[in-house]
This record gives sequence, C-alpha cells and structure tokens, in this order.
Amino acid sequence: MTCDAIRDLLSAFLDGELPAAERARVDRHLAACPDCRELWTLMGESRAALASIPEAAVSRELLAGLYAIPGSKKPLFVRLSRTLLPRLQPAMAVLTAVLIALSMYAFHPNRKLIDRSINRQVHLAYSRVERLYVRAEGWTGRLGEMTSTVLDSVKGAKGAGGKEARDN
Amino acid sequence: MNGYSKRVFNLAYQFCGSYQEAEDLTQDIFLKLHGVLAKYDPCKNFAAWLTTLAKNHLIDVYRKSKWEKGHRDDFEDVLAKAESRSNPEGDLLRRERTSMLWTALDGLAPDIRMAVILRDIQGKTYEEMAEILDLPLGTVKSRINRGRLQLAMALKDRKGECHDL
Repeated sequence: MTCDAIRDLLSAFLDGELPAAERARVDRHLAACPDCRELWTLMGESRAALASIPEAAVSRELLAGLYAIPGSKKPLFVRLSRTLLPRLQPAMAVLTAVLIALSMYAFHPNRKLIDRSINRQVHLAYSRVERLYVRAEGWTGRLGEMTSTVLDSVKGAKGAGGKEARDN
Repeated sequence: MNGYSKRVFNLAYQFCGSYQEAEDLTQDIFLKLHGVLAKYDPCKNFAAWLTTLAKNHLIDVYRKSKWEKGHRDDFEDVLAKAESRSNPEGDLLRRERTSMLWTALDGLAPDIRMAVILRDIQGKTYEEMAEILDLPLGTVKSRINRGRLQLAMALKDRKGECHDL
C-alpha cells in the first residue's frame, strides 16, 4: 500500500475503527515507514490535545439575553400580524380585488373580445365627452348673450328711472 | 436552557474562536430557534437537531462574512473562561501544543473544522456526527481524517520551526 492510501486510514486506525486485516496492513506500513509513523504519532498527540480544550462558561449577560428572547423578540410573522396587518387590511382587500380582476382578464379564453369591448366603451365614452363639450360651448355662448341682454336692460331701466326723477 | 445554551455557545466559540463573537452567534441561533421551533419533529433527538441548526448557522455566517483569519482569542483566554479549572497548570509542553492547535483550527475549511470540533473536542461518536452533519458515515470519517492530517502537519511544521531556532 502507498503512503497516501495508508494516510487515508490513519484516523480510523487511531480510533480503532479498522477491521483486523486493514489494521494489520497499516501496522506493517507504520513499522516500515518513518514519515507515516511520525504523522500517526502527531495525529494521536493532536487528538489528545484537542480533547483537553476546556468547555467555556456561559456569561450571565448572555443567559439573561437568551431568557429575554421570547418576550422581547417575537418571530417576524407574529410581529407583523400584531402591528402592520390590521392597518393594511382595507388596502389588502382592494389589492386582492384588483389582482383577481386582472387575473380574470389575463387568463380569460376570449381576451380579444374583452379588449374589443373595452375599446368600444372607451371610444363611446370619448365621443360622449366630446358631445358634452360642444354642448357646453353652445351654452357658454348663450349665457354670454343673455348676460349682455340683461346688462343692457338693467342700464336702460336705470337711464329711464333717472330721467323720470329729474322730470319730477 | 442552561445546558443547551452551553452546548451551542461552546460550539460557536470553538468554531469562530472569539468569545464576544460566539455570544452574538449564540443569540442569533436562539432567535432562529424560536422561529423554527414549530418545524421540530418530536421523534428526533432535540439536542442533535439544535446542534444541526447551530452548525448550519455558523457555517452560513462564516461563508457570508469570511471571518478574518488570526482573530481567535489567545488560548490563555480560553483557559481563563473555562468553566472548571481542575488542572489549570497542566504540562507546559502539552499546553503549548494545545494552544498551537487552537490557533491552527482557523486554517481548516469550515466543514472540516466543524467535523474535528465535534469529534475531537466535543467527543461525539461517528453516528452522532452523521446525524448532526446529515452526511453518510464514510464522508464524516473522511472529513475527520483530513482535518486530523492537516493539524498533524501543522504540528510537524511547528516542531520543525522550533528545531531550527
């Protein structure tokens, strides 16, 4: 076996996880190869040293912070449902209705017919508005005439009234 | 809570190497836990499930933020923060070796580092590790082997440097 193949097995060998046949092969290789033997020894030293790293104590501040989590910081969904969502309900309802109408339009099998009917309605509405505008212009002209007639008659009445007063 | 917080905090501390950062990471993990607790399957081992959650968070944060190498606390600080100090002095040579390995953990890729921590520092069995890491047993063993080999090479280099001096 090559050194690389043996090195792949060193960890399992160290943990006593290898079957007897492989263990014997690794044993033989280690007896003959000083490099692999040194590596195996260092792996053993490293494993023992790592096992001696002590557990750290958790600070009181951290524990206090952890106990405070459920009270102070609710999950995002809970926070949203308690604060934002009730205020947004009317807007959400309108948005939902709009989205439903849009999806009904987008997925309707006779979408072209709907387009044509919308076009027709828009044109009808436009021509109605135009007619109203023309009529309104006519009314504006008439109102102007009536105003000048009324003003003339008022002036005439004032002139006649003044003459009568002077005659008396 | 105390047992679980100690477990999560120590995993975070051993993985990132900074006491302050480990405290922040533990807070984040417990916040996340409150959000996903409803998804917990009671048939599963809670401690293993929590460790998996912590492991995923630690590796995610590491990949996103790429903690700078060499910012691990000194090993003296680790000893000072230890919960029990039954043998605070120890053998000087062994202490130096442990200190060097503590620093060398930073040189391991996150997945390999996590495997070495779970096995060699926390003493988990291969089966427990396979459950926590959600990996086949063979992959777990190969990661531990790679990690231990890298650490052994680091020790060898260090010994070489000492001899040169």
